[in-house]
Amino acid sequence: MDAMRGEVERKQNKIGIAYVFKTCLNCAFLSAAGIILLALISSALPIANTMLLAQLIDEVLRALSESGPSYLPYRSLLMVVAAVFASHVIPHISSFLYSRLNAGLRSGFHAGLLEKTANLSYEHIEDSKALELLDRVFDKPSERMSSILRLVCAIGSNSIQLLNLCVLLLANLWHAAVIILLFSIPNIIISIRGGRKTYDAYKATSRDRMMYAYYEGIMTNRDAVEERTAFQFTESVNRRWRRLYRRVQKIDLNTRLRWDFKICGAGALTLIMAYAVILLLTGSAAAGSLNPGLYLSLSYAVLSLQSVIVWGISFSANQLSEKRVYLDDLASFFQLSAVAGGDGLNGRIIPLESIEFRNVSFRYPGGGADALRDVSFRIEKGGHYAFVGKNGCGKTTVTKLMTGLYANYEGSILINGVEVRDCPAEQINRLFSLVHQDFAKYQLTLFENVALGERELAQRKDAEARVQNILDKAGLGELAAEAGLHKRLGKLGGDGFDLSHGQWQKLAIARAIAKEAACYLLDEPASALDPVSESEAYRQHHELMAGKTAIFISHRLASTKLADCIFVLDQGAIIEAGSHEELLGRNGSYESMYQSQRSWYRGN
Amino acid sequence: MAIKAASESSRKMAVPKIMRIALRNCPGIYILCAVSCICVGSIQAVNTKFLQRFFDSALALIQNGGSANDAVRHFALIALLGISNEFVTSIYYYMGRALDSSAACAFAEEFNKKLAKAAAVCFEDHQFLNDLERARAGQRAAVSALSSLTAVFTSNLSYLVIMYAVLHSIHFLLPLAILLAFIPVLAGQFLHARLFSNLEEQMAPIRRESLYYEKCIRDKEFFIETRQLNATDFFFRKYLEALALFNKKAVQTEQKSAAVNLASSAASEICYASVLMLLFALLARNQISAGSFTAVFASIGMMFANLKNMADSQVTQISKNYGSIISYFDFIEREERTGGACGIRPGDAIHFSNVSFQYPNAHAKAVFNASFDIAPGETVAIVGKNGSGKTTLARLIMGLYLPASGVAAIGRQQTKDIAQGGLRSKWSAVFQKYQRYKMTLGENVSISDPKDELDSGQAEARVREALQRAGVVAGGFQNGLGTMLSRDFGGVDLSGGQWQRIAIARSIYRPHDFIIMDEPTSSIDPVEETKLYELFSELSRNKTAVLITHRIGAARIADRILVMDGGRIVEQGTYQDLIDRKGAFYDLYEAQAKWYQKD
Repeated sequence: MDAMRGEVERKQNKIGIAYVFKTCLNCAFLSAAGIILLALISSALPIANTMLLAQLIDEVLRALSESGPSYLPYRSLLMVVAAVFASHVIPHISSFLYSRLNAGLRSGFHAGLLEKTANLSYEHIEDSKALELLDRVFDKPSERMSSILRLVCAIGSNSIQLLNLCVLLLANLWHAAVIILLFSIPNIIISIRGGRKTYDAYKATSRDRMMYAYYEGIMTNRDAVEERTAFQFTESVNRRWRRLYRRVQKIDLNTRLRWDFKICGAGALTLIMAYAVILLLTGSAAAGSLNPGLYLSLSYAVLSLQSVIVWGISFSANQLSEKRVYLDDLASFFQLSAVAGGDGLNGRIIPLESIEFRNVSFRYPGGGADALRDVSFRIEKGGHYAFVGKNGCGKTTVTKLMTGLYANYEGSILINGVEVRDCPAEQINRLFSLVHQDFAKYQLTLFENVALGERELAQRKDAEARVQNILDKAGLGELAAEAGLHKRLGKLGGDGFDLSHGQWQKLAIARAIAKEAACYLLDEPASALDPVSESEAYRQHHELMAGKTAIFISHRLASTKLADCIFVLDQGAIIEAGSHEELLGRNGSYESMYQSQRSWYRGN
Repeated sequence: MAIKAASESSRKMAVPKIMRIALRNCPGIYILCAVSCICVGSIQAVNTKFLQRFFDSALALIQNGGSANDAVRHFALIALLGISNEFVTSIYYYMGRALDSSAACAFAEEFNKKLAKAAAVCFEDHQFLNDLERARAGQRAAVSALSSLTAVFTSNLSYLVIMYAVLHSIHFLLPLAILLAFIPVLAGQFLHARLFSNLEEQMAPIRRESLYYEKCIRDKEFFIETRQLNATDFFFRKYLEALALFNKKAVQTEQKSAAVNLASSAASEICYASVLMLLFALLARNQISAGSFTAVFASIGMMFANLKNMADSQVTQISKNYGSIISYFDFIEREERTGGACGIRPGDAIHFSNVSFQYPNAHAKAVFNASFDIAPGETVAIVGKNGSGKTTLARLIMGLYLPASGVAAIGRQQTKDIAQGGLRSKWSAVFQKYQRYKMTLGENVSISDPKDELDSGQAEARVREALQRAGVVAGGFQNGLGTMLSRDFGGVDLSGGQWQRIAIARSIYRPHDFIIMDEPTSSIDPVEETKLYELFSELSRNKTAVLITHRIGAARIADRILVMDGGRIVEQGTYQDLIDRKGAFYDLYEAQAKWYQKD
């Protein structure tokens, strides 16, 4: 399994069928090998069947003409039955093997993909193209791999059947073999091209399909329930949904229609070929160069060749050319860059001395204006800092750069004098503890949620007491006492209970304080709290961070009042810096924002 | 009780229901599909007879110089049949696909319409959400069941009937083969149904759990935080645990299933061997010819394969998914909120007395004994801590939720007596979690009153007016009202503040006498926020308005304020009253105001 994950890590330009085989064998060697072996066995069965049947018929005819009805070749009959039995049993065994293979792929291959994703560079997560790619790659990856294996095995096994029959014919009637080979090739080519065309049509309608899936969502999901019931928009959205659905359906069916009939024509051609071969066989049997048993069983085999070529080879090839596209997606997924780990901090956890931005400018990958312009500031150990400004002024961008999410900035960002892009991600993650603006709502227990911050915590004897203590500090003590530390949050489990948005945010803060870090970064940590909790939180946050380096980010100016130094950002640049009192005296941007909020509380 | 009864009825009737929906929505395609199915089945069966004739005449030709003409004639028939089979099969596949996608459309529409009528409170109930998920799975299963059912009842049935006739024509004992082919298949199906009936329900929660942990690692929502917590390993371990459990169950199931299949295969083989023995015995007694023997031998092999195929792919498909198909119909037939037409007039007052409300599965009441009145044209603010019941109360006021006890009335009519949709005809709202529709700017606004299509000039003028009042400059967008507001669909992304204004324009666009404004808690900066309150204050002019706010100072714009704590209304009064009273409201006010007082 570990070897497999290593395999996934490797970068590849082009992924072929060999990769699928290797992956399957790596993840579940016995099952995959068994599947391949069974495919080989089942490819030899039809020809064995034909031979046994020929023998049986000949023996029967001889018995009928020579010794009368008393003797019949029961041994040959049993052999035929055994061969048929084998051909019936093999699919069941291999379907069982496929389920084991799928299980192996899930824990080897799928898990490996997930590990790789966990290390992707952050820029990809903000890029909608890359996100779409991820969604495609993670859409039943194990089942896709095993179905490619299944198709390749089917094509291989059926091709061997075809060749076997040709060899048998070659020994008796060589031109029949040539006819068969000649006619089966166009059939296969048409099928493969049809597969590609239908996939192209599928791709061409992908935006429409995404859109009607979105419409379906707002008509049925939980998020939209308030507006859906209040505005009663289902009828109108459903109309639009149907229009799009019909359009996609029409394109899809038209493409199918065109290719279905081409493939059907090719199939008819193959049939005509089969009939020609049978006529040839009849001729040579009538001339006596083919005994009746072999003639009948060969004729039957040639007639069923149609399904071998059309279904076994062409159809599978058609499907394969559709499914293979997944491998291209996989290849582009492997191309995505992972976080590069330098060793700038020599792998030690070090105390924080300073964080410094020197003339940093930054633009998000994929466009737009500069998110930061020539920003310089210095954070010293133990200080409390605040970044304030309107929405979109670049506050959050500062934290993203500081924590090493992006490497393509101009200027320098130094942590203890070391360039941040040279620090390994894990080091930076140890250094900072964050409360994000869009904090995650992990549907785990309260205990697990807090312990996520500091994993060693869970191992300690007094873990529960500590977690309870942290929850108390974050203002969730009552809830924890009431609901218990080990009950699952959210709606994932049957007995779980849901928190309000504000409670979730408090939990995010609890998680952040649980983590022993050198610098705490709190991005709008009170945005979801009610007025009282929020005001309590401002002071509390500063108290919790006493003696620690802390950076507060907010557009709520009251929250920043207690900071040692406030940086005011506007359109990506620092326009003012200083303490609350200093800034108020300046009659600048800070002052006017403060007054605007204050106006609601004046006059009493 | 009523819901239970519905489930009983759908348990029996799922199959005809599926067919009825298909017949109602796409009769033409359905019938064409059935006809092509019948043709495919018939041709395959008739083929046996033609094959037998050809082999007989060919053998006669080879062995004792029979007529070449006969052989050629029979051969031509086979060729004709084979080629027409090719075409009919193509048509069948095409029609099957058309039927699938048309039926999928029909089933989805039923589902969408049902959800339009589902009471909002249901979405707070995890049982309902589970049922919803299962019904969604059932919707897909019903589509594939439709094509399977069609095949079973047309292609397979016609195949068997004609096969019976053909075999009978060769020898009267031969139809026995059909019976022998059927018995093991039926037994296998029976075992399958017994063993795997509740499987999907057992597997679904485990699958959901492992998918959730996967999301915690790779989803945009969690990605960065999980990584900065160095918690990837933690979730990975959890993921692997859930996966191991899922894999174990899946493999166990498959193992059982393989055992059942092998057993039924063995039984099938015994039957097959008996049929061959019968054939053999007939051949030995010269009751059938060697050509017939070969033809029947080949066809019977095919018949066993066909029946098995039918059982494995089609019947198994249906019986495996029968549970979720039933969930679908149970869902479609769920009880709906009943009630009559809405008799609310613009001048009606809102009257609440002793209203209590509890969420499904919650341990405490979210709103307890709330009593108050709102006069026509009055603006009332609701303030209070998180979880004090503000939003729930607002939902009760506009009739999204119905009280568990007490009287919630508008004018003379209680909210519970008004049908879903009826009540809201006079209401508009800005919700706290307003939607950011991935639609055009115009559609984002007009969706609140979807009666008019946007292309009518009048609707467009109204949209422009609503946008203008909300302070959105439509001209600032690349394609005006037609600008797509989503990167996914080739449009633009907006900031939180812009979205907020669009949500406000949406509420303005909807004609209303009553309006609820639930303030967003975050993502609005101070300057924007001040403007937002001015907007809210303007919106509430001349309307009966309810404003939920976190900024206590902003409650000044209201005529009256309700202060909530722990689900109860603890204070009511005008802003000045409440400040003077120095109670709960004053505490809330002080908590915020102190940050803005000069030290």
